[in-house]
Order: sequence, then C-alpha cells, then structure tokens
Amino acid sequence: MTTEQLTLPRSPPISPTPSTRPLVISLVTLLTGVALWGVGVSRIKLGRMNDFGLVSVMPIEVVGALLLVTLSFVITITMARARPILVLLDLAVLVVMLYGLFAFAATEPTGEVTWRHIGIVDYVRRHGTTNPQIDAYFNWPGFFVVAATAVKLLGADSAIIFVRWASVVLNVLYLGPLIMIFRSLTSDRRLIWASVWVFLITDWIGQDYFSPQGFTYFTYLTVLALMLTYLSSSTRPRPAWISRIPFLSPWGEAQSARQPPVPQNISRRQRGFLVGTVAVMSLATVPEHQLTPLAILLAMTTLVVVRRFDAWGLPLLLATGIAAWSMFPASEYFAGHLSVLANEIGLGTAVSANVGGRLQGSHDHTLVVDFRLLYTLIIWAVASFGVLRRMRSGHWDLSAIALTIAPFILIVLTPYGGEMVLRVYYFSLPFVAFFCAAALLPSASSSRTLGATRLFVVLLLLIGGFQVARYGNAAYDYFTPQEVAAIRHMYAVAPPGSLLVAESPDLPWKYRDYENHKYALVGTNIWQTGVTIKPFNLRALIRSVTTLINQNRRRGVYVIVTRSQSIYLHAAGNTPPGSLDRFARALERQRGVKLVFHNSGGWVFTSGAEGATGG
Amino acid sequence: MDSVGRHAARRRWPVILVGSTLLATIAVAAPVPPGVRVPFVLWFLGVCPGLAIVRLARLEDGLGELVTGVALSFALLAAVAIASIYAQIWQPYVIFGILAAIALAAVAVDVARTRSR
Repeated sequence: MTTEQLTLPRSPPISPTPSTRPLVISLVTLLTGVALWGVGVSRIKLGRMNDFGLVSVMPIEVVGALLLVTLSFVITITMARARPILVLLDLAVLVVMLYGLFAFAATEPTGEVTWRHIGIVDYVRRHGTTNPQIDAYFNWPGFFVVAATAVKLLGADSAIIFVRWASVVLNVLYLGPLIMIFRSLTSDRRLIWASVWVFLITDWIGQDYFSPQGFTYFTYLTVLALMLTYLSSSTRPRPAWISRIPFLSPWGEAQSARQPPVPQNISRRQRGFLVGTVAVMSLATVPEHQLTPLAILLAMTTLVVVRRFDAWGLPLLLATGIAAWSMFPASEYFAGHLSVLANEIGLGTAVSANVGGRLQGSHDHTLVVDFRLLYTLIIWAVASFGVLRRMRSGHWDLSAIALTIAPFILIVLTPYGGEMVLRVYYFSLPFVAFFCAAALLPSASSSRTLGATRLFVVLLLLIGGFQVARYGNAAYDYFTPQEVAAIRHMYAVAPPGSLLVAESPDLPWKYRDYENHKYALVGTNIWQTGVTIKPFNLRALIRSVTTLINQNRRRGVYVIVTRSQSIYLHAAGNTPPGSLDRFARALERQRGVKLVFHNSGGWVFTSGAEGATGG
Repeated sequence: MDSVGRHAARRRWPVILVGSTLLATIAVAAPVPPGVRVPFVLWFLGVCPGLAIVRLARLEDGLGELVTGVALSFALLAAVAIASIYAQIWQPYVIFGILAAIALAAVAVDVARTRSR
C-alpha cells in the first residue's frame, strides 16, 4: 500500500469479479447527456442573449446534459475499479460541452479580439513581415507568424479556418501536461482525474481562444510538467515545524515522513537533453507573448528557490532572453510606453485597474462581474481548505503551494490592461484546481454514497458558476451573420486609406487589410490600463463624427454602427437600450453623411456620395 | 510498458513519423483544397519534428514523450518561422522543408541507434 492511499480517499477493495453495473450506468448516463446536449444546442438562440450572457438562453436540455456528464464522471471515479478510458471519454465530452458550444451554435467567430488576430495573421501572410507601427501585437509576433505559416501551407485565404475549434483543441492539448503535473503531486488516480475536471470547470478566464495566450499556455503547462516530473531535483519531507502545529499534525510524527511521489528516474544524459528542451520551449515563448515568459520565469525561479529544481541556469537564460527581446525587437514599444508602464507599477494601480475598472455597467452586467469575483474567491477559499487538508493528512505539497503563489508577483509589475488578476488566476489555476479537488474528494472515513453525492453537488455548482463567469459577456462577444455582412460590405466599398469609425470597440473588424485603413473610436477611450466608455451623449458623438469627416476630407470616412456595439454599450457602459439606434438615425439625417448599407446587424455610413444598399 | 511493447513502439513510431512527413509533403505540394490539407499538415507541424527529437531521449513514458514532443514541435516551428521573418526571408515552404529535414534526420538517428544496440 502506498502512503497516499493511507489518507486520501481510498479506492474501495477490489473484488475478484467487480460488477459492471456502474460502468454501464456511467456510459448510458454519458451517452444520454451527449444526445440531450445535441438537442439543446440545435435549439439555442444566441441572438436573444441578455446581459447575463449564455445562461439567459441556455435550453434546459443543455443544463440536463451538463448534469448527466457530471454524474457519469462521479460514478466513474468512484467505481471499484477505475476505467481510464471512460474517464478520458468523460473529459473529452466535458471539453466539447464547455468549450465547443459556440463552435456548434454560432456561425461567425466570437470576440472582437479574435477578428483582430485574424487581421494580424492576414498582414503577415500577405507581406511576409511584421509592422509594429500598426499594432502593438507586432512586437511579439511569434504566434501570428506561426499561424500565417500554417495558413499559407494550407493554401487557405485566412486564419478564420483555425478559429472555430481553437478553444476545444487547446483544452484537449492542455489535458496532457495537466495529467503529468497532477501525477507529479499524487499517486491517487481519483485525485488526478478530479483535478483535471476541476481545472476544466473553473477555467472561466476565456483566454483559450485563437490567441498568443492560449497557444503559449500549453508551453507554460508543459514546462511546469517537465520541471515537476523528470527534472524535479528532490523530494524533501515536510518541515518539522508543521508537525508542531496541532491542527496540521493530528496523527503524530509518523505522518510527517510522507513524501510526494518519487520523481521519474532519468540518466544524466536524458536530464541534459530535457533541460535543453525546456530552454528551447521557454525561449520560443519570448517572441510570442508578453506575459507567458514572465510566468515561466517566475515558476522556474520559485522552484529553484524552494530547491525543487536545480537547473538554475535556465531562469537566468530566460531572463536574458526576455531582456534582449525587450531591448531590441520590442524596443519601440517600450520606448513609446515607458512612462505609462512606470506609472502602472504598484499594487494600488493594479487593484484599481483590475477590480475598480471592471465594476461598472448595467445592473445585470455588474451582477455578472460581482459574481466572477465571488466565484474566484470561493475557488481560492476551497483551494486553501484543500491545502490544509493535504497538510493535515501529512502531505507537504511545497512545489504546488509555491507555484500557486508565484504568479501573484505579476500583479505588482503591471495591470496588463486591467487583466492581470485574471492572468494570475489563470497561471495559478492548475495548482488551485489540484487543491480544490483535494478538498472536495470524499475522505476515506466518510460514507461512499454520501461522499459521492456531495462531490456531485459541488461539481454541479461549480459548472453552473462557470457558465455565468465564463460566458457572462457572450451577448456582445457574439456576432450575427448580419453584422459580419455589414462589416464585409464596409471593407468592400471603403478604398485604401479610408478612416473607419465606430462608437465602441466591440465589433468584428480589422480582420483584413489591416494596414490599408485608419481606425477611430468616438465613444470609447482605450487606455493602457483598459477601456473607458464615455457617458453617452448624442450631440457629442455627432460632433465627433463630423469633426473626423472635416479633418479627413481627402480620404473616405466610414462610420459603422452594429448590434454588438449597442449591446456592449448597454452592458458595459450602462447606456439606455436603443441609444445607438438613435445615433444611427441621427447620422442618417446629418448633412454630408450617406447611408451605404443597412441590415438587421448594422448600418454603414460614409462621407462620400455612394447610395444605400441592403443586405 | 513491458519490453515487448517498448520494442514494438520503437519500431512503430519511426514508420508513423516518416509516413506523416511524406503525407504532409504530398498534401502541401498537391493541388488539393485546404480542408484536405488540414489534418496532414497540422499533424505534421504540431507533432512530428518535436516527437522525432524527443524520442531520442528514450523517456519510456508515452504521455511524457507525446506532450514534450508536441510542445517542442510548436517551439521549433515558432523559432524557425520567427528567425525567417526577422531575416526577411519568410518562405513557408522553406520552413516546412527545414522542419521535415529535422524530423527525418531525428528519425534516422533514432533508427541507427536502435539497430546498433
């Protein structure tokens, strides 16, 4: 018997002929869930979402399907003999249900940033170079260059080919390194599977889309997995001082001898090979993303400090790589933003940008934002309980505790557009999920049925919370085919050099000919620390548009008003419903402004003399 | 994995990696729609070069090899593509050729080492 089995939820004794009934029940439950989900997704009306996002239109069948897949998982991991293939099937179905809903139900890619990413890939594909003058993304162009290379090799016209399934594919990719990480922390299979499950149902940040962050997060997880398994330097027992705390040492000194699973034995040559591999992987993230290399650097340094990783040259090498990239290829960005970045350093600015800046908008949207904060705090609280529970049972998860805390150092470095708290949550999530699972799994002493029921209920609550937290912005992240058609028409008629104007940034534009147009927002300010929506003022908006038209008489000016902008302004800016309709009608009456396109998704106006068409 | 299973895997993977490289090359060169190219090209770019190299380390852990192989493939693709962009010689077909050469060279070393044992 291993030491882990002494304390963690013990697998029931294996009988010579285990019953196949739980297996059949689990499989039937899962398949019923899949069928129900298919029916639900075919009925979903995404265009009717309100400020609560996806949950406002979620059919009962989808809710039932999530309930059934959770039930199947709980039955599977509490079976007498664990069936890895069935657990993997449960996980695969969960990934599709949580991250693939929009791939099935929406006809167009969601999220304005996705469209901008497509535009940057399009630029690289057409020019074979980067251009930091157009967009700050070009200072870290790795992801876009990789995508452009793949687009060209596939003979496709655009990176839109990757977008629909990106979230599902990325989450499937994450499963491998996650399992390796959890295997390094425990030998209890149920805890490993439960940790993966909890990770998937609490990853509400929404960075796993066609993005540099989503792509490099896989490298982040893989580097962590390699450092915690093959390259882990020691298995130090928990310190003696913990045994002196009564609550944490209920079973005496014998418990303190427990150690994490032994690292995998590898030869010196294999070790050298893997250190080189980690170096290549880590350095490759430097031109791909601003933040991920810093998170890897922090993780490496943390493990060196707690003496679980002794290749101290790696963090030095990575730090040199990050510094070199900042001083040379990305130097223009830092030269232009140095004063802003310097002012942003500090905890006060970080809290104000990350929390204060997000607690605004309509009543319903504010509820969603409040809920996200509460959900995050609950998950962190459950994880803290898990840490104590593990310590109480004699496990000293030093690496996992240190790697949970390490990303918080990022908060004081920069608010990162008001998103740093979200990224901290994201980078610490693998270990938070592990400790949550350790807190939730029934103990060996509790009744099997009661423990499984309790686990089922809590997982169900977490999955429900995930739907609100993750897809709470879905109403304005979702674009109808009509509004995409309006934007396509704008690009079709706007000559190169035109100024394209929108009220707010939430629309599917910049996906083509990025360098050929100028862009302006009249109702929103984009700051380094986030987006500020100006109070809605129809006269001021019209004045801004006419000023832009007067200032840009030599080039065409196109104003686009879409459904998604209207929803965004109401949700995030608390403007009265229909405000943008008033803006569009006022523009229609404005002298010198012509309507060139109109459908149920939006309006396109120009300062030129083209006639209107419908779509 | 027992020694028989390891031996079978050792013989199977070189065939898969060389076959994948050849199929991806044909898919890229042939006048076929993007939808047909997707599985061959993405499997090659995302798995083959890195896995061919990682197999040289003989980790004896299927999951560890696969995960490290995929991450290394992405890293190699990114490294070659970014270097070519900044050198202003970005040519996707050349990048593909370099990655195919890396994969085939690593497989050749792997096979040679297996035979010499």
